[in-house]
Amino acid sequence: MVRALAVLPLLATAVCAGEIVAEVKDSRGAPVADAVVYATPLSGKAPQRPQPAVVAHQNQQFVPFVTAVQVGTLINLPNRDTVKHHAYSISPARKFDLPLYAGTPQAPLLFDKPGIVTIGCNIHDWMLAYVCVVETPFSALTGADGRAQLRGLAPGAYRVEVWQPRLKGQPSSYTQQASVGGAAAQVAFALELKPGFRPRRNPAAGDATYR
Amino acid sequence: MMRRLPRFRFRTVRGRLVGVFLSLLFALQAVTFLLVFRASRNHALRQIDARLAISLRIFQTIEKQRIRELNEQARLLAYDYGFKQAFGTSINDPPTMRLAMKNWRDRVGASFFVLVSLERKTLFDSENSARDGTPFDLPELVTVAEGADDGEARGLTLRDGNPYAVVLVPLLAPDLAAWICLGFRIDDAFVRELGAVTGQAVSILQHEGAWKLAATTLEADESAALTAALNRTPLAFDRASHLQLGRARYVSLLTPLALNNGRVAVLLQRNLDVELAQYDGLKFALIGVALAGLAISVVAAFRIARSLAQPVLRLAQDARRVELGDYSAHDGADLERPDEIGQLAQSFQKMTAGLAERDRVRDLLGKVASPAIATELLRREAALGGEERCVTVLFSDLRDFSAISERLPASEVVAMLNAYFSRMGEIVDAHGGVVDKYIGDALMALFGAPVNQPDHAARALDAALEMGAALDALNAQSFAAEIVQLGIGIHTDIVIAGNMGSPARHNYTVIGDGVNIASRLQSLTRRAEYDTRVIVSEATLRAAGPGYETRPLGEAFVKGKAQPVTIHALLGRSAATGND
Repeated sequence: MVRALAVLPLLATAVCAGEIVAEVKDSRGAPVADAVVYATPLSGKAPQRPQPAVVAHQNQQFVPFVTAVQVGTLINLPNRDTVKHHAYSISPARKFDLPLYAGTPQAPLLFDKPGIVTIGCNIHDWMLAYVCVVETPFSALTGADGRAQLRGLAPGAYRVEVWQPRLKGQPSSYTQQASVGGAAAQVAFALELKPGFRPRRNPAAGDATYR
Repeated sequence: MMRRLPRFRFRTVRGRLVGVFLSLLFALQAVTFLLVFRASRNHALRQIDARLAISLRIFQTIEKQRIRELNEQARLLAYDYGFKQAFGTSINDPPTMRLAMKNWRDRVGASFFVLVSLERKTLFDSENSARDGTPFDLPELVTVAEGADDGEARGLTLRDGNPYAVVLVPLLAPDLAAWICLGFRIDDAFVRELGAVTGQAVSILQHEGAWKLAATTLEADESAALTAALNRTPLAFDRASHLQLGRARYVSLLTPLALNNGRVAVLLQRNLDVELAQYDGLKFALIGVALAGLAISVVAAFRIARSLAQPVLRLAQDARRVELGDYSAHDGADLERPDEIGQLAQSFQKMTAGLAERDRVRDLLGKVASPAIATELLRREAALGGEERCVTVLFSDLRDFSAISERLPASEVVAMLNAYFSRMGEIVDAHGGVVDKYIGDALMALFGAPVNQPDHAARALDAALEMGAALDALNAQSFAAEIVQLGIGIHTDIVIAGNMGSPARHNYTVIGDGVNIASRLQSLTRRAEYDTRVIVSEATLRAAGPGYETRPLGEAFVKGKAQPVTIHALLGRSAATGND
């Protein structure tokens, strides 16, 4: 009986957990993928629930491309390829340098500052990953449909922000407010994106010739 | 015909021929020469323009390749891990950054290295730290790079008044973190290399208000002249034009190079005089050919003219000889010619023969009849017919001629007769009469026909008197073995005078009563009772007028005529007239 009662608050929380559904579009109305939508409660502090995350080298790409974590998260960068990689970042939020290695580094990296961390591989120019470190644990990534779902939110007012690797300007200029209650709160973002360019991976043989 | 060219009056056909030939040939030569010369010159100029255009394309290709190389060097530099680390860790440490940037600048041999923020601010300028923090002075490069697939930009531009080849590449760490700009100063070494490759004068020009030479292969005086010329009359882009620099002329092609059009340009030039010198050889050859052609034309013209004029002159000489009566044949060279000159010579020869023939006939005619009759016959074309004329007819006869001719040998008789007739004929001629015919020893003369003479009667009387005197003279010279006497009868009457006979054979004579009477009067001189050798009729005396001494002889009956004729003996001239 006591155990059942102990579950009650949990149940209550579960029953009372709200959702924010975000829809991210660009200035032309097309859905935007790989956008991080995060909500910070306006009153009180967000709970600290950093979960360890992984950004792996796989098929000479970083997987996932964008990761959203709370400040204080430990992230490891295992090398799942047969060739070595040299992961690095010069972002002020987290500088690191992992010279050529194979397998999984012994110690994961602690991301203890909010901000955007851009990760690259020194010997594979096209490899790129982003880690979006935010204060709140409530964050989600949009898929190809441009939609993200934030779950487990206590009712109340939230500041909802968005970031995307090609975002023009600062996230603060896109801030919205949402009220979590019974039904899922709907938030829509219209982002201005910069045209991005990335080094091409392994151009087809024969493209590069003597000129 | 001569009026057409009043200034050039050639008096000879030869001169005219030569003149016409030479004018035509000279005009032809001159026109040909000018046309060919102009065509070859235009061709030369087009060739030069074409070569210049090719040179420009070569230059543009070389320049593109060169700057692509610089671009690639800059890209490699941008991927340098050490620089990325420096950028990440020392961005707030200017001394470290600046020194590192100088190091990397020297790796590729650039003139400057500028690090530009994404907001287009100069983060660090390797050459001029005063620029740090100011807006980047070549923002157009960033604009181009942002729009490019590979995020790179390159071109030629002006910076601090100097031309540079600049490249802008992204610093990917690993995504776009900043822009790296490298610049390479363009100077004489660059254009010298290009000039050597393309074989022409190359200049880099910059325009900031006025044209200025940034680099050139020209010599100092020519480059000064070039700057002045360009600022005086601006050249159009991408069109070949001619520029005079000092003593040399250049075909010039100006083309813009820079990102910002028109501020930096390259000028390619070829020395026009040097290029055209190749065609000078052709020009002199043309002149030579023209002059040689002209010389040949002159010689040919003279020879043709002479070959035409000479035969004409020869014919003219022959004509003159013919005029003077010389019908002898001239040299037959011209006769052999198959052309018109030959035909002319042949016709001339036939004409000469005809003239000679006619002369002979006339001569003969003149001998057979008197020259006056001959002329009259020829004049009237010897047509049959006659006309009534009043003439005086004179008959003369040698008395007892038959008896004398029996006594003398035939040859002596003929000699005597010829001597007699010659003399008598002369006298008749001298008095303007014509000997109509000789009948044996008789002579019939006409006065007043065929040539009209108003004083024909007086002439006949004078002739008769002189004939008598001449015979006396002949007798005195013993022209015959014996003394011969003559009798003369003269009568004036209207007769028919003209060509009598058949068309094939005729002579000029007179017929009528008057002729018979004159003959009868002549035979009357035999009569001793008249005692005279010249009997004239009343009609004649009346026609002749005063001045003649006569003795009337009464009337005589003439056979066949009913009326008698009053006759007189002619004694001589009366003293009153007395002239010889």
